[in-house]
Amino acid sequence: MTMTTTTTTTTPAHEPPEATANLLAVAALPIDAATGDAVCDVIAESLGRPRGSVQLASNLFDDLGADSLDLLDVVFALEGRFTIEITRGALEQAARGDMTDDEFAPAGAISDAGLERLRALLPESRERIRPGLLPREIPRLFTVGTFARIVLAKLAEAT
Amino acid sequence: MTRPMTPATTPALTTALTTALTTAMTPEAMLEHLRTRRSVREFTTAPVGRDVLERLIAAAITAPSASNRQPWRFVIVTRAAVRAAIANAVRAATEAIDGAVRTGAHAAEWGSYGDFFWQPLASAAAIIVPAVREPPDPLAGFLRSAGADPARFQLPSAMKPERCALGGAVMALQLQAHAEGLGSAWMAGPMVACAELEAACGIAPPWHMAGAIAVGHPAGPATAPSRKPPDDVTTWMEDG
Repeated sequence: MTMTTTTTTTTPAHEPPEATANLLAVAALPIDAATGDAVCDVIAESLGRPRGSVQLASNLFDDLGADSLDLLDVVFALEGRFTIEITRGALEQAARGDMTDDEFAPAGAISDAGLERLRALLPESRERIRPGLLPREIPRLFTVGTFARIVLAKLAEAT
Repeated sequence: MTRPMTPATTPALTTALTTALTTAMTPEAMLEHLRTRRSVREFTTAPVGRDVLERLIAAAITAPSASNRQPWRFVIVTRAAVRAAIANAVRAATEAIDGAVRTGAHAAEWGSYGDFFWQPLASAAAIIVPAVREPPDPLAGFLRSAGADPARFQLPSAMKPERCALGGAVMALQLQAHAEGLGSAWMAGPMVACAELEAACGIAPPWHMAGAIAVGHPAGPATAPSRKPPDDVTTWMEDG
């Protein structure tokens, strides 16, 4: 797939929404052991995998064999465990930030600028973020650690 | 033992060829038949004959069941008015669920998923509604007759053997449909209109509807289902 990118250096005209700011703010933070363990527990139980096979670095699709419906199970289980909301809309918005659809994914695939943003948002999945990635494939980047960071962001947002 | 060759295209030769092909079913051919079955959800308007539908049921009842209870019944609906009533009832019940989900935070994830519940029924030439009965548990009866509390024991009924048996029966039905060149899909979605469908099909306790099977001539190629690799779903315990 070929694509052309023309804008990579625009600066935000306004502050990103709070949820986005929080997601980005925690992207580089260490995951505390208690949250990490709890998220691993929930995901292991939700996917029916042995607890020992679920690590923060595990990719849900490639390492843990999840499919899109399993991903929903995980989202609902985490929402119940932590009393938070993790919507697809919020995740996509967090990925896109203040970029317009055209800036983020012109002609379907995510732009270079969008890929760079995703690498900042999902540092644990940098090597999976390659040209040609489609927006709907973003969940395929998610590791257990991604979910731990989302949980941390949502908990921070709630306080 | 061998009959003299007859000219091509005679019924006798056709029968002989069919017999030869059937008896020549290899392990590889069997696996290929299993692997090429698809859940088909969109059908042409071509009808499916009663003789074919009878073969599907003949296949279904070959399935094993605990103590050979054969705890299944099948309501086969080809009558257009009843098929439409079934599809419409499932659609209406799905729309009620749609309405509820749309007010929540996960409306985007739900999307049009509910369409899967009724759309295959809308174009199916035949709708087969399986029913299942939970039979009395004779082992519990034996224990009670001896003054023992069945709750103190681990009993086979825990695995819901009647449901497992129905699963085998429907798989056999679907494989026969595949061999007939038909497509089929066994769906849990129609359970959203369980009460309406049981009434329409004359299913009453102790029988309970167990989803619905859409059957018909495929409208086009179905997507190949992905499967978890064998290593992901097996644990081997071997010598050596």
